[in-house]
Amino acid sequence: MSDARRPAPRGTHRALIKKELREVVRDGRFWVIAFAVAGLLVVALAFGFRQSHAVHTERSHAQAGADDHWREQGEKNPHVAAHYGTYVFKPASALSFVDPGVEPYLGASVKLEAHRRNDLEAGRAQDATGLTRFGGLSVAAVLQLLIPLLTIGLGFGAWTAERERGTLRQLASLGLAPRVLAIGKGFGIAAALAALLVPAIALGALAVAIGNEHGAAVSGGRPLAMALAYVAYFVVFVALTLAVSARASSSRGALITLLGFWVFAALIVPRAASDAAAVLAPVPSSRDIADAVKSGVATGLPAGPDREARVATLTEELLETQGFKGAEMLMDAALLSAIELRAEAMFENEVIDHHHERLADAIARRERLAQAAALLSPVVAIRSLSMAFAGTDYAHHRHFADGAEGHRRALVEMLNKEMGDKGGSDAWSFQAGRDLWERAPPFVHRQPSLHWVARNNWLSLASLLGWLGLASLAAWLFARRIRVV
Amino acid sequence: MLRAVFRVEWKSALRDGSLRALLVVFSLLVLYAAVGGARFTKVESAAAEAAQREESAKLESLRAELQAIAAGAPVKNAADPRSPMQVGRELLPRVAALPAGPLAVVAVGQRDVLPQTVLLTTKPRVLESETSSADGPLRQSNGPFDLSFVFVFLLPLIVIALSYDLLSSERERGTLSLVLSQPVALTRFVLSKALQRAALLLAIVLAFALVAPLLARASFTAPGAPLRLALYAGLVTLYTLFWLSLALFVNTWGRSSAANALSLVGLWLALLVVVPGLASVTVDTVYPSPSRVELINLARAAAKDAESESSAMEGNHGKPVAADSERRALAVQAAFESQVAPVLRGFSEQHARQQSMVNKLRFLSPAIVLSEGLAEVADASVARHRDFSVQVDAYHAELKAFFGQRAQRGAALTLADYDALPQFRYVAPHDDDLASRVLSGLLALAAACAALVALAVARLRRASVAA
Repeated sequence: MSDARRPAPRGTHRALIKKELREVVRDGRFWVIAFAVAGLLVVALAFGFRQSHAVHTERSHAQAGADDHWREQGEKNPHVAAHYGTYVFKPASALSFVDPGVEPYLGASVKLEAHRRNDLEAGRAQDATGLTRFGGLSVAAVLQLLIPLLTIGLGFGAWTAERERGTLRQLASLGLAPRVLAIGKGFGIAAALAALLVPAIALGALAVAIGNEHGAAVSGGRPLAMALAYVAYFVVFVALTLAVSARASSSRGALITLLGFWVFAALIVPRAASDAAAVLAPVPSSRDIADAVKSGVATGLPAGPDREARVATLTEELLETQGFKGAEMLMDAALLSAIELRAEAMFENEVIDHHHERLADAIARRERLAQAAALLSPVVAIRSLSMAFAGTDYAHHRHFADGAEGHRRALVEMLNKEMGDKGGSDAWSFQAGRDLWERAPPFVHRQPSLHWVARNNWLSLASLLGWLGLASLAAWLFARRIRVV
Repeated sequence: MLRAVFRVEWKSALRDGSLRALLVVFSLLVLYAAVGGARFTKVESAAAEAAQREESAKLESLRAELQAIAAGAPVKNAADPRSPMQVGRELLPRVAALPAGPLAVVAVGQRDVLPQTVLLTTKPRVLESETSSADGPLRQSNGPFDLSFVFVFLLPLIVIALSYDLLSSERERGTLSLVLSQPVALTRFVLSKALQRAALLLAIVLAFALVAPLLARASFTAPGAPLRLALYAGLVTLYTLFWLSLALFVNTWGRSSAANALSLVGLWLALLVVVPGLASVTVDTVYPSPSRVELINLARAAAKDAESESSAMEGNHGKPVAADSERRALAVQAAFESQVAPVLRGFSEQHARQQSMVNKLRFLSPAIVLSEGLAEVADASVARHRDFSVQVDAYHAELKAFFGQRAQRGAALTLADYDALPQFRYVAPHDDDLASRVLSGLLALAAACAALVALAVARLRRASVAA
């Protein structure tokens, strides 16, 4: 088919789309499958929402409980209270009912105490049954796995069936640009998909509204960004289906090729990629890091001065900033003890930062590798993006962990300083009470912005757009060169 | 006549380029999975060995310090090898490792999520963190690329690819009426084709299934290995036959090859994604997992006294520890554990209920039967880990008794005590349970195959030749 020179008459596009849609809708099997998929989406949505709501309630309840414990710990020395510590709980992400992501495999709470950076614990994966190996039923899983398969089922014969029936010759004789025909077919399939997705979208919007009232609030444009990513993903498969159908010599060949691609892109690549990334970019275990920090705190950083020297330097610096340099003899004993404690804490934080930066670099390398597989499969791209927009990926978890660590440092600093200011002559017998505990800064964790998400997932975004461009180009090119008979 | 059919089928199969391509792809996948499974097992056992070596080294250094102190060396304040409290709580974490089974390479199972090596002190287990593998949450969430994945998810697709057009291709090529003009019944013809496919598939699948663990250096002569090998071969065989019977049944509906392919992929989706997903949702709804987050606050409330004691002890940098504070700490810990024990019991009871529901629901899908069966054969199932957890709890009690009694008496540790320290040794449950669990799955698969073949034969007998 060659590009026609004259523009299509008005109403052609609409007529074509209507024809395609009618053909799809007349197929009885479509209705059966559409109902099944819509039903699954509703079940997944209901279950996901229930889980997400339960997690939100549990965590906010637990945080309130931990705050009460902190306030009612009675009279103690402030530094002892720093050892007693408190807990913070990671809040549930509002969109986790759509995509729970890797959340179940990550910890939910962390103990904040002096001298140590603890790991998050109490993840749900410890309570797994063998069924978790099948992936579970979430809205994201249905959208990522089933909708492409449905698209393939609806569109594998878009061009080849016309040729086999003999109607392709008639279509070609209309003198319409192949682009117009391709768009008509694409929109026909898209309209069929949209019809079955509409109830799910409506329910999802309702769930978001309820969530804003009673649960975790949704921030900014995340739902919109997520929706756009999924739309792009669906269009990739519509275009790929049309492209393969135009290129193939028979309906059967088109179907086999498309199914083969789906098996490769949706089953093999995601697993092989995360597997390979774990092997090629190993990450030190949390026990290794904890041991390294422990020995670093005892002896000092590998490339730096030993512990005694470094703490002494930091103490000098603190004394200078406080204006006590040279006047140690005149200081309150408590003030001096507090400054030593603060210097010790600063040294420990340096060691912690050094090793955790190493860990963060290793993790970043592994994630880049796993995300790079998006070049081989659009499913990997949408999986990363969906988790990222829902706030349930590993990067959001680390963002929370870093925020909690910052809060820990602020809290310990405040307690040590208080001991120094009010301790008088004996730091260790100074007892503080409820008014100090209530003055502790509250921990407020804000979900990172969309800009942050985009920056962390630029490779997945670029890959998805790349797939979109490639698939659309292929759909158009192959339609142009289609064999009519 | 049927022998001629067989011969023709073999020849065309051997010459078929797409069959060769599928074989190459399958063999690459199996190889990658075997290597991955072997690597995982090696890493886990290396971690266990490293932990055990570290424990021995610490033990030796503590013994040396004890001897030095006896000879007159000074005692370090917070690292006294004579103090049962300090040694039990801080200085000598004990290692409890779950050894891998002989066919561990077949399935990673739950081993990447549930820790295989546990470090214990006399402090309450619930307050200690037990972290699992460092491979990362994405790999845990996606699932490992092991032999279990290849057999459960990808093998059915290979079987479908080789049998979706068993009957429909003959009809579409026009050769069906040709064949049936010979004195042979449709039923016999189709069944002999199916048998030939079965023989071909089983030869390939069993060859790969048995060679893969060998490549990964699994030991076939270790105790328990022959039983597990037989169960493994049986599971894979019946699973292959199930999908072949399903393809045969779909072919008897008399539709086109493309329609058959779509239907079979749809059934694959239903049995591998939808049914397990719905089963998982059901188990979580009927028996929801108790909240570990709530456990933390509960433990904190119960441990209030204990934590005040211990934070007072740790936070008083440089101040000497009061003489009877150790005894107080022991009493407080005992009170804490008795408060938390019923909650922990509730956890394990709920887990048991969840597992028994999974055991019943698995018969809804052959994929679940195979997945659970392979995890059992690889000694990587949830049940095995829970058994390990129970034994670790018993060992923990033994450790607490050992150090606690000496602390109560105020006795110092001696070299003889160090020699008599309790060691952890995992006692594997008898193979009878494993065999009976897997056998029930095998029977279910065989029954499903038989039912599908019977249905197919019934339809063929009624069918006409008209395309």
